[in-house]
Amino acid sequence: MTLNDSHAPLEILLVEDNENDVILARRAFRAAGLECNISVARDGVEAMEFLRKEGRYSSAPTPDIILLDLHLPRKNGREVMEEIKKDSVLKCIPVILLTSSTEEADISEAYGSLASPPKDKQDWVEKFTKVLSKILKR
Amino acid sequence: MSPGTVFALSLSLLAAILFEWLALALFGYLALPLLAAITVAIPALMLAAAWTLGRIKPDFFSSLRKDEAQKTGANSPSTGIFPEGAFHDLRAPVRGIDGFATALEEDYGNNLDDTGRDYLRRIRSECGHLRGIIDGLQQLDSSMRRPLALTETDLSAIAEEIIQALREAEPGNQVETRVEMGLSARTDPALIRILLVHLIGNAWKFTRDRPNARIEIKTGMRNGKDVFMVNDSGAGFDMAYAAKLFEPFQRLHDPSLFPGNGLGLYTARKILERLGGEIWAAGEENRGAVFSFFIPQDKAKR
Repeated sequence: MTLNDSHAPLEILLVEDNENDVILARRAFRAAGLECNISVARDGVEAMEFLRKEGRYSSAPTPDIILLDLHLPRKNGREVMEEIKKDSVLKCIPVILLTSSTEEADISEAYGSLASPPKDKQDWVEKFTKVLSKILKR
Repeated sequence: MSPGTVFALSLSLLAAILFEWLALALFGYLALPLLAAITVAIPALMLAAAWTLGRIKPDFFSSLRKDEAQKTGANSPSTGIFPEGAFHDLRAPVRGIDGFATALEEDYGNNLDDTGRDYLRRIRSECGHLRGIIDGLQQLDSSMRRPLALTETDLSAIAEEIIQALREAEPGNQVETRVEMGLSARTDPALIRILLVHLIGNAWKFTRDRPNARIEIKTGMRNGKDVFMVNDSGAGFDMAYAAKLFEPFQRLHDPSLFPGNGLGLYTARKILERLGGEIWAAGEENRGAVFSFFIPQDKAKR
């Protein structure tokens, strides 16, 4: 799908090992009224399998956005980030690191790299910023 | 005394006693002087053997080594206070408690009465407090851990930037500030910034809402040394408790009036210790406070 297709929900891959953070992230999207499908990878290895549609992830959707925690079992967030950036296909997917950095520049940069911005971008950005302010690691 | 030492001593005493029984049986009371010598000698020999084999290390040796490590650590990259990953694991449960308390408040707040909502608000407030302490510990840890990068540092410019940020965050606070021009030292600018954030931040906090509030950053002399000083006309403190100021989690003021994580001045002291410097405080209740610090230039050049 593309983000121009405003009726299709956004595909999000959340790479997060903490069950509580997953529940709270799902709630933050719901509370902001952002329609999306959230898939969860529990560690870096699972995340890469999901992105490369390997094994049980053969029919996994290609995410529009990846939300990536840094502290992960097995393969950590930075290693995942490096692999994504080396991959000619995956490197086009915007990755948002769930660090404590709430610099607005980082966030708008992430929006800027979205292949096709949503129709009502301003509304979407506002909602998404609200979600991020809740799920970034503090 | 370590458990290993206790174990070795008990073992050797047991060996000595067995040996004595054997000697008594063979030689009767004629053997007494010999037995006394054995009682002392066997444990001593066993301890010496164990020491040589490196199986036990008397505590005073390890404490000597610790002192040595602290001395050499003064000017070199340090290992920090907490193990890697400690802060990530400390933050996760706080994030969970705060997050679910918020979810309860927002999603189920209508099912609670005022008392119930007040309890949730207090849970969240305590999470904020705990997060402040974790932030403080992490800053302290990274201040001890990061390698020193000594360079000519413009303290006046750093102080002005900090004041500017405080003014932007709290435009309503009326404080007259004066920063002496050209304050500089060869030192680590990142650590000096953290130090000044705490000292100027304190001056800002303790002069808040006071008439004719004034903060001044300048040079001076203290104990025959050239020092930098942060003066304020704020709440001050009783000199009787001056020694407590630089200890962690010690407060001389009501935390509801002057909130803080209890680590600011402790962090300031640890930073100056790492730079080989010193910090002093002087004050008078309701008349203000002066924090003076010294950054040795000879040591800092190493």
